[in-house]
Amino acid sequence: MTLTTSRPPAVTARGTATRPRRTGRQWPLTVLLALVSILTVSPFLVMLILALSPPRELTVPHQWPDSLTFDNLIQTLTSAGFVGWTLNSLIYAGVSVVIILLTASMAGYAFAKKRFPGRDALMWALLATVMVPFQAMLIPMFVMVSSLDGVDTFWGMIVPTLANSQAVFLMRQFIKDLPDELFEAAKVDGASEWRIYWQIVVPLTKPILATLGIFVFLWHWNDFLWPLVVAQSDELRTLTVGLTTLKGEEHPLSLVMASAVISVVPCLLVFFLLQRYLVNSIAMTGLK
Amino acid sequence: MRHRLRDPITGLLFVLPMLVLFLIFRFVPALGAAGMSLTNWNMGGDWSFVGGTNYAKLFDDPVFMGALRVTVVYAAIYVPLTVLVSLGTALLLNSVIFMKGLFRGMLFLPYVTSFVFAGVIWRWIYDFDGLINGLLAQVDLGPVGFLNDTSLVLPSLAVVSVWKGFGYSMLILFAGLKSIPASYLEAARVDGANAWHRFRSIVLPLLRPALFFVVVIETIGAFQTFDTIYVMTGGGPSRASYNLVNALYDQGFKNFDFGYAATLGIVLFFLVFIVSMIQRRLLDRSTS
Amino acid sequence: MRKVTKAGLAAALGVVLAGCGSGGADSGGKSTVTLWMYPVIDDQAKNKAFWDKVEKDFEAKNATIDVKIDMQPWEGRQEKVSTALVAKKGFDLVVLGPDQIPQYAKQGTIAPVDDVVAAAKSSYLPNALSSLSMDGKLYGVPIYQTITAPIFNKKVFADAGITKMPTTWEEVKADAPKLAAKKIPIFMYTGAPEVSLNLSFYPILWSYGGTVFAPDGKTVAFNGSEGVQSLQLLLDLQKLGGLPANAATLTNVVEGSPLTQGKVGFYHAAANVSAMQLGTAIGAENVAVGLPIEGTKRVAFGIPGGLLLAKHAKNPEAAKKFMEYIASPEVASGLAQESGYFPARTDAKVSDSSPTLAEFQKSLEFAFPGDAHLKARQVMAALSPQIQAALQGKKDAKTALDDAAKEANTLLAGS
Repeated sequence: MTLTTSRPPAVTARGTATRPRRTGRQWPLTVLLALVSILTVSPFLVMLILALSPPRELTVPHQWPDSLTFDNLIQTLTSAGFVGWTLNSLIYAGVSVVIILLTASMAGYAFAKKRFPGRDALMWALLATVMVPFQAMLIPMFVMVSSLDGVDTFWGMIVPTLANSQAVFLMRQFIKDLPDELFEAAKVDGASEWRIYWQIVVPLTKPILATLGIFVFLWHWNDFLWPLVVAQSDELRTLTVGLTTLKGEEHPLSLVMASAVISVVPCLLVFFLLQRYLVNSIAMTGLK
Repeated sequence: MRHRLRDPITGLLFVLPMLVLFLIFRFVPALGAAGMSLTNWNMGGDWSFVGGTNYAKLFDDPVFMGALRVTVVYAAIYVPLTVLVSLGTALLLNSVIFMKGLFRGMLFLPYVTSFVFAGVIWRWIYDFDGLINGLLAQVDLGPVGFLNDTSLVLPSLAVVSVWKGFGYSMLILFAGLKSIPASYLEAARVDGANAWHRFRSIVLPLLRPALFFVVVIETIGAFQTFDTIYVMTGGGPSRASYNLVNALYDQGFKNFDFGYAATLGIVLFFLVFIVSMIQRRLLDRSTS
Repeated sequence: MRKVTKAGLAAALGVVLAGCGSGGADSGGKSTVTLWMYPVIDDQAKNKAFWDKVEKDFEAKNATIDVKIDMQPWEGRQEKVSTALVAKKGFDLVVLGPDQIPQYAKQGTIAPVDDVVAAAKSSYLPNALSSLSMDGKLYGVPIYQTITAPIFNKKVFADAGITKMPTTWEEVKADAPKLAAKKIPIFMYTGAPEVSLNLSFYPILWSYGGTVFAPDGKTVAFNGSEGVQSLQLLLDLQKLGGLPANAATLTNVVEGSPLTQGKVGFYHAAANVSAMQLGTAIGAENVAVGLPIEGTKRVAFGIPGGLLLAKHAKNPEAAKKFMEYIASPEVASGLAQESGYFPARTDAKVSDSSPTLAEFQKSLEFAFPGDAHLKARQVMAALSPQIQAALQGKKDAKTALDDAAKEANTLLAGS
């Protein structure tokens, strides 16, 4: 890299100092982004209208419905198991997010910055396990959990999903980028390994931890097959699974979409809560 | 001496929690699946080792050969497309200032929703009297059977998957872009480098770890695509979109030939593994 | 090295396949019975109320048995039931259709239940019992019976000047051009591979007197003259503008289909829920329900819902008591009343049925549960793509069926 790393004093990662120069190019790009965004989102308006349509009447996308109703949403929200299922989903997703963020960033840090024999081979061995399709792993995994007496328990549902190699791989890729001098300096100062991890690695990878947190939450919140088979009884049922138990064989599409709308809401909440961390990037610290 | 051992020991300690999880819930079940492929297990009590019989069967199985072709062709269409779309949107998000939080959320929305919804809406978009053919009819073209034509069905399905999934890679690439110090780009600008030049010589090299992650993960995902196909075409028409995971699912959970299903899983595993190793050689050179 | 690998694999396999059967312990001297039920009653509130009452009533009569009814989703049913059977955990009783029985019975994961119906055997529909049996043993106690019948959009027929709905395939063919003149295909054929052939191609085959399998079950018979005639009928209709352009990839979900949009004449194998759905969409006065369309005879696909007993059940005697109760005339008639299906026994009466339901009931005497065979589903998977190919003009009827038969016969020979 031949470029200088010295930073003009007024420049921040948000690029405030460069804004005046860029405004000329901002508008076309903004319009383009807005168009792409609206195009991407437009199917969701269809979903919303579907969820608000009277059951089984001919509606979008074929024609506009004659009237709209909140009955579908209310019917889903007031179904007997709803509160319990939501709590179970929150536990399933919440516990997984906390533990995966911790263990995956620890492992990712070691894979990126520590030297130990077989490091890369081990990393790829972890990654190789996601290359076996889940449908082929389902029965062996289930029997494993069953032989540890984990069927129909929270831990049996959660713990196997914590082995997430995508998370480890992602953390490794991003921690790799952190400058080595940082860690050397901390070591010279006599900082313990745990302190280096907790006070340097974690704060500096906040944006990617936030990204990963969103993903892990989504994966678990929307997960269907695993919680379906492990949580056999209604007490442990998650929301996605619970909502499908309300579906008859020829279920009205409007009710299916009402369920879909309801289960999307928490995901969006988590996304908008965590997305402010996406902005506070490493670059802002000016360490590089 | 103690100092030299510090790295390997702490490295292993940091990896340990994940490693234990993987040993119990991934490696042993994966070995179980591999073992299963050498048996004639059908879920009942009796089973015996049949050696390579299941693997020999592959070569006489026209359905397997077709599914193998579909799997590879689909990945070849999907991976470049999704990487381009997510990189494009990530770059757009990174350069627009106005309401970028909102746009980011809008673009991420499809990733949050259910496959059932994606199936409903895209079936209509592709239908003979659906959205696209309606537009084509305005200019006296079509109708085009996007899901009916054996040569169009895979690209059509790939587009659905890209729409549904690009938000994931987009966020990761966005985080990658955010970790590129603005000072580098500012310096290059001062040096008179144009946008393309800055992208080629600064952004792309620094984005490499994130890009590598995205390519590997999307490739694995492409080879294992199941839900989109299951919901949209069920593998049709005439098995033109019937891939290995479809075959695996049918062999296992419909025919209870778990030995052969596991065989298909192992074949798919090796396929993905080899492709990933090639990608590693090509893309990860700078970091290894 | 190879030895080590092999030993490792065997060990892993041991862990994985050993399974284990704890749990289901008796609580306080009571025997527990777990039933996995599926939402056969469409209205969720009614569904819950019905099964809560069944549980309470049964427990009131049987103080030593603790019954647990878990409502399960239709989605992922196969995976959930399979994993439970492998690990010997979960249900004691489960509701399944006849098509899964041969495979589970062969595996030995479900137990025979002949003694449950022994006392009242003559009051069950004979077809229901035989379709839930395998090698002379009954593996499912029928608790309801489904039936399919053709449903018509009277309005599009009337617009084409037809007031009498077709009752034979010949009449369908004769009426096709009249509807086609109005750009309306007469027949909604649903060729998507995920649609069971029992609801698309097979009813036509059966109506012409054909069968899927040869009598000995060792080869398929669908490529005989009846099969060719059936597929040729579809191709003829297609030529006359009688099939939707996307017939080869259409699914049989009635909601949002060409049928509810008033863009097609009729569908030949609808459940009564679909008739009501169609009524909501196009107006009940425009819906007609017919008898099964006749080729050389009338056949309607209809299957019983069977209550299966897991081999691993801890308290089979208690479970059988509960089975007997659910299959009893009073529960069966209640279930039929709420679900819109029919009772699987003649001594269970449904008090007030809707006019539509009464129309469907007429088809009950033609009920046929499909060709029972261990590999029925694999054969469907081999045949569907070939029918798609024929509908797309890539193969003629005979070639398509012969190609499918070749693939299917290889499958059958392999077992």
